[in-house]
Amino acid sequence: MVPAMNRIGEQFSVNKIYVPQMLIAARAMNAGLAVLEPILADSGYEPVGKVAIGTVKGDLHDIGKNIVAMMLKGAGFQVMDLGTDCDADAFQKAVDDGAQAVCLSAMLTTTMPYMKTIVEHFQSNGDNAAKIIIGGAPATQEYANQINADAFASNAADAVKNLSSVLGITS
Amino acid sequence: MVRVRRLREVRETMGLNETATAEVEHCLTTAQTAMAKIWQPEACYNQTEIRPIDGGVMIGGELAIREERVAKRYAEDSLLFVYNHSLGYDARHMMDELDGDYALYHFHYYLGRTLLLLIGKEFYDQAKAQFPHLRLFRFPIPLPVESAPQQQVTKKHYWDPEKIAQVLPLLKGSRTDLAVTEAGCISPLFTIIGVMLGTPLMQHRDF
Repeated sequence: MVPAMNRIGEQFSVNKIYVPQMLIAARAMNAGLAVLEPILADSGYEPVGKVAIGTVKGDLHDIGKNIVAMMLKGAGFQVMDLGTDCDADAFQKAVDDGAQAVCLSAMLTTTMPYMKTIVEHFQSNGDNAAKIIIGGAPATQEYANQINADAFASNAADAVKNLSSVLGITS
Repeated sequence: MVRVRRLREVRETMGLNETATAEVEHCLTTAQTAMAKIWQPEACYNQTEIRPIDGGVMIGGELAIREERVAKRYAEDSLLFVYNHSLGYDARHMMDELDGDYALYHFHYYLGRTLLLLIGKEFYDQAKAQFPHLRLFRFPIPLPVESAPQQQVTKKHYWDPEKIAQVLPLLKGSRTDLAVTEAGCISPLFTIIGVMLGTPLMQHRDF
């Protein structure tokens, strides 16, 4: 299922399939996972990684964030969805609870600066263990570089690929 | 345009094969059922004081709207209404209703946006019937919305969040619990707020 979802992600990123097609593919995968999960649990299967995702403080938009969360689950990640309007403390708690990376989403130029606040929060704590990846309509690679985020993703498929890369996960 | 494109994509997905048709129909039906369970649709409007000021109008006694499009259509004896249209629930509530199923949530999103626009259309039709002597102009307050093209997002053409917050008390009587974040997001997310100017037909400049 993971290679199939990867292919879905690739096709989505080059506009060969649309969001609704990706959604029904993800539902098919989730239905499959529901069957497999009890078997995997008994076999000691571990997720490829544990990540937290949320839309930053002041921003209530969650469509893009949800798509990324769905794709990450499809790629075998355990996803802690923090929801919307998340402050630095919410992400810190997720890291304290074992998240190896935090995925920050912002849909507005007015909320994007809070991504920098979160990066600075982790830097001031000397907590460099968790990787930080950013995305959302106004975000760019340049902005990611500027605020010292570990990675940027322009779409859901990129998010999976780039997050896997910064965590050193090979499919 | 984004909404129309998404609806076209749903239609094209349904046309792929029987399985896709059944799955999309299931998603839309489930989302529709969830919406019908928790939504509290509302179209509320309040008439408020209006007077011209330099470059715009002053509404509610203390809120200056310096927008050319409003000022241009203002005439003596114009009436001003502040309005909201809302589906009356927040994203988290819907996500809980759908048991956290992101895919269903997205299909619900398409329905939600469309229904919100239909509420707006019905509101306008009823307002026209109630005020046949007025020519009505609606000016939705531009709010930051997801899926806006990046070039629009970066133009920062949205209202100041503090100014949006000043509009909300003018909507007294609304049963929707409206709030605005410091970034200008309106809660509940499926909400449109705006002002509607009613200009007496004989005074409108077209006549």
